[in-house]
Amino acid sequence: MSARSHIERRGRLGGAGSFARLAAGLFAIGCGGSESGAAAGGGTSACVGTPVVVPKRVVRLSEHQLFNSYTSLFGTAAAAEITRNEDRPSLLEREFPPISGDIGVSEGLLGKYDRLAQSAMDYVSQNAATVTPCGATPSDKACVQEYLLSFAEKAFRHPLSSDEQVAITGQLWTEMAAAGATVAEALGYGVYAILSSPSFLYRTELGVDVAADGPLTPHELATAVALFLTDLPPDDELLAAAAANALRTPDQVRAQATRLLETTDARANLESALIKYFALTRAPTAVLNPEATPGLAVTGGLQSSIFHEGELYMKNLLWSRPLGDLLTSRQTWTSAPIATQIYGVAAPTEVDADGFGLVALPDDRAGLLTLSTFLLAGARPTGGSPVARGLAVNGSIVCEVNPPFPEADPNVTVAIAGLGDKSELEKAEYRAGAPQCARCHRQFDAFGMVLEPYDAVGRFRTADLEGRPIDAHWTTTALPQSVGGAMVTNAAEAARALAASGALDRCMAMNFINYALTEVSRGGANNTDLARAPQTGSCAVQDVIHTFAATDRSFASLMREIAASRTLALRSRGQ
Amino acid sequence: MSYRFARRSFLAGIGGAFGLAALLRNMEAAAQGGGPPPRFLMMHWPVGTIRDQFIPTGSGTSYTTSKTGQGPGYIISPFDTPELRPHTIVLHGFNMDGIRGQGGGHEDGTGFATTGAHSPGTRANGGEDDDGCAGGPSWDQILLKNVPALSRRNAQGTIIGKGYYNTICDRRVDSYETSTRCLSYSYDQQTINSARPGGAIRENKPLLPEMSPLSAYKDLFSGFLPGATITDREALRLLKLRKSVLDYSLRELDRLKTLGPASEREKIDSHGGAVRKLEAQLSEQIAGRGTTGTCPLPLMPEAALTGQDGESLRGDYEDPRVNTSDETTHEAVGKAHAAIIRAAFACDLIRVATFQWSPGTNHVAFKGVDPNAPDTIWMHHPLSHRVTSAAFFNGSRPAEDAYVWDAMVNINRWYFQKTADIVNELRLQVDPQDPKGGGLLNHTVIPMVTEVAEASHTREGHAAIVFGGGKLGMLGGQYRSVSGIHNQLWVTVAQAFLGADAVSKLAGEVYVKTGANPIPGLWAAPA
Repeated sequence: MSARSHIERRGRLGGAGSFARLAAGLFAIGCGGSESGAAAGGGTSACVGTPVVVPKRVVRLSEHQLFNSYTSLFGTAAAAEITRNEDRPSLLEREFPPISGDIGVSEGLLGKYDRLAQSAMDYVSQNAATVTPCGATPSDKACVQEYLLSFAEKAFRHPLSSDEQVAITGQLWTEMAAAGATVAEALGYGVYAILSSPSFLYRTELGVDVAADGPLTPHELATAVALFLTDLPPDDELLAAAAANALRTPDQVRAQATRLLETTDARANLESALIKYFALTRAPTAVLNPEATPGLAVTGGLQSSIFHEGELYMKNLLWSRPLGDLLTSRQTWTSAPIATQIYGVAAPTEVDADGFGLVALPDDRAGLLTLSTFLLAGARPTGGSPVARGLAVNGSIVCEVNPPFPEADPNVTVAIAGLGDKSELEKAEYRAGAPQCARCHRQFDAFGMVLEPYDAVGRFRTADLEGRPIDAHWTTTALPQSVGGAMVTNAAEAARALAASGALDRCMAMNFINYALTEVSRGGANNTDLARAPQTGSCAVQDVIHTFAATDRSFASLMREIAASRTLALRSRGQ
Repeated sequence: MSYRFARRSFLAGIGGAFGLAALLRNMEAAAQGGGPPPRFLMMHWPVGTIRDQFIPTGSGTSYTTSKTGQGPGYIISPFDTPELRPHTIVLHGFNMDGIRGQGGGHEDGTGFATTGAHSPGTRANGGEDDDGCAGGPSWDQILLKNVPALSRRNAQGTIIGKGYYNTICDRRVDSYETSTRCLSYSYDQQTINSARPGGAIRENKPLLPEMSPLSAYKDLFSGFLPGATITDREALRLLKLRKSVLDYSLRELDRLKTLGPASEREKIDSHGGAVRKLEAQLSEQIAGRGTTGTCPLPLMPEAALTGQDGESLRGDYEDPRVNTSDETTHEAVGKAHAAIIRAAFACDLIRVATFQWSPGTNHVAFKGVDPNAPDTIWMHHPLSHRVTSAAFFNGSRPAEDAYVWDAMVNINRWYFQKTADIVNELRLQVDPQDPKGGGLLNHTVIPMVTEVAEASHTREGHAAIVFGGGKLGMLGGQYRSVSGIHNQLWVTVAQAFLGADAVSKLAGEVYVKTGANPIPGLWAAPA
């Protein structure tokens, strides 16, 4: 539908063919093949694949995006009324990327969408006087039809083609009339139909010519950028830019992205995405045995505060500091109990209404990995686990593929059973020396061992729960080769080495490209040819990292570069 | 009560909470001796069993179980009651040899158990690389397609209404896998990125189950009509209006299909198929051929009653103990789903369903399953990995690590006790479609499967149970030791729906057929 609507505007754009040529010059496809050299606008080297990772397709809105679309169409209060009988997903409940499994509209989803659309029908029918210009009981067919067309344009996120207009005011209207609908009823059922339409439930990525490689149409790109950054449909300014064909160049997209990234919606969306990404949402509900934190009663209130510290950490760091500061910051924004009882520092002197304020972390700590929120989120009831922590860092910071647990290997079972009462240092040393263990554990054990001085809630300790001393032997280790193999002696050094390796930048680039693509069943930013390069070695990631390197290297800049990337703007021909 | 009288009185009483219905075509058919329709309910329990405590003493119709404590058949003893035994067939000894895949024990095992087909590879899901994909439709879908009586269809052959429904009681898994928390797979396929063998592969689309009983209730029972009291003519008018909305959706989907690439047609067609089912149901109602006049609606579940979700829980394997047990909620969710399915069968909204307690890689926690540590709460699948020896799980109670063995026995028995409760409710539920007033269970066949033989993932010595279907020819009241491929279970059950020549009628299906013959003595053509 989008393709035809833009073909029909051929006069203004100079024709579909000229548009495709123009766009191709500005968002160029191809990075010179698989492993060699630069491409127009790319400048990547030694990357795997092409930055154009996804073919032409249609993508359904995620549940968050669907509910947000209701908010955008009706306003917050009305949308709350319309959606009150359905489970609205929490901002913190999201997947990475947003859609997996059910990539289409399944029967289960259809039932929910149908109920929402009917609820909207009821609302509009009951509030016609305030929602439409047609009065409380509309009787003017022209007024109602004009309203429905205007509503559809907003819901579909692009100007309607003549086919789309006729579909609403022609056959649909005729069938409703034949069924005996009054004009007022046709208003309600018209809204119901529009919200049931695939043009609302999906966004298209078809470009002008679905059979050719090429860019998204301006309205398709506007929708993709808006949903990525804000989880909302495009706002009026973005739609105006699309209508004016002012999203042709990466710089034009960057300008819009910069604007959007200043909004509360974008920041809330991306902060919560990152909180979910690092699994910090487990912190409030992590179960701890009392013995795991001797001398400290970990209450629900404390856990909630620990989680809120994580929220503030993201909020205060993401938008003004280099991305690496997530790992190396020596500051946090926390409450007095956390500062004094967990970090062993003085309470914050200036606090907000919730009692949270800026404190400096002790010398042994740096960044997210040593924050209470991260450590608590990954804790077991019996305490922290260096293996679990190591896997978490390896997967979410370095973006290495964590090896599966060797369930069928009896040698591993025997080994685990034999280590039962050993200290974590002894277990780590055993794993390093045993080939059947080392081939996997050398990839991530070091990350966990440098964090071993921190208990389940992140308190620094000099002995484990059995009273065995924890000293520099535990934390002096070589980091995995995946991040440069440097020798470190504590968590702060490890965090700085991780940040310097650039692993976090690449890992965030990969995951947020996939987040921007929404669903990656047909291709994503991960490199799947792991024999040639790690996951982050794809051309899609390297393309973004290349342009990101010339920025202030903040999270906002990374999001902006992804929004302006070839990966988001271009699609290979439909298959 | 005449047809017309019952129809008008029903319509006059409709409160909008349940779909408009004309009188039963089925009630008429039943009154004429047509009998109630058949139903099929596929169930699953996780992590296999403990052979020593599953297999009873004796076999055939003469088996005995240990009911009061550990002993032969202790695990299956909840089914060995005067009420349920006649409706129960217990089987042990299948294997999954000859079914190929590249996934993990539970991951491939779930798909093998329900589809019986080779797997094309594993899914690149961002987690581990052992998430097996389905290489064929599952048996609920196979029977839905091949057994006309398992669905109501319009003149064009479109299924009226949903046709089937899938449920699950808990969704926590290790590592983003889909395979362990889905029993049902479509005939429709999609192209996905694979972890193994790498590159793009084609999989049969998972038909993901619903975990929230409230959502299941709404999906199956929410009405099509707004408002409260309505007249016949009014009801029909509103039905037609709603149909106009669905028809618009279908036209727009067809238009999208012409604009999009061929590779997206499956997705669009799948959406269109779901809309067509709804549209078909409305068309039937408009034409005066409705669902059911009298059937028991379940209570609407509370929104808070649902299982837990979680997709990256590998850390639980280091210490599978937790502070909070799940069995109360787990049971409640199971009962709620079962009640909804039971009502949906009774109201003839669907005739096919699946019910999964929890994934084979579950993290459901149980208290007191170690008799020597009654306050300890263990997570089921993580605990099972404390020992990885098949001999441990297939032998008698070990001297070492007996707590693991005991816990597996007790958890398996817990699942079977709760399943017995569900099956018994189906037995007691009067089938509104049965003019003789028999129970739903008589015309409902319920195969219950598991994805591994036991916790060490072997594929030798699988257990399975079949409930119900007595009026369809299933010969309950037996324990049988079997050998050979697991697909024998399915072709045996298929006879209840397709008759003695079920295998030949299913010749075009892709399940592994080598050695898959009906097991003699478990089915006989009903009189």
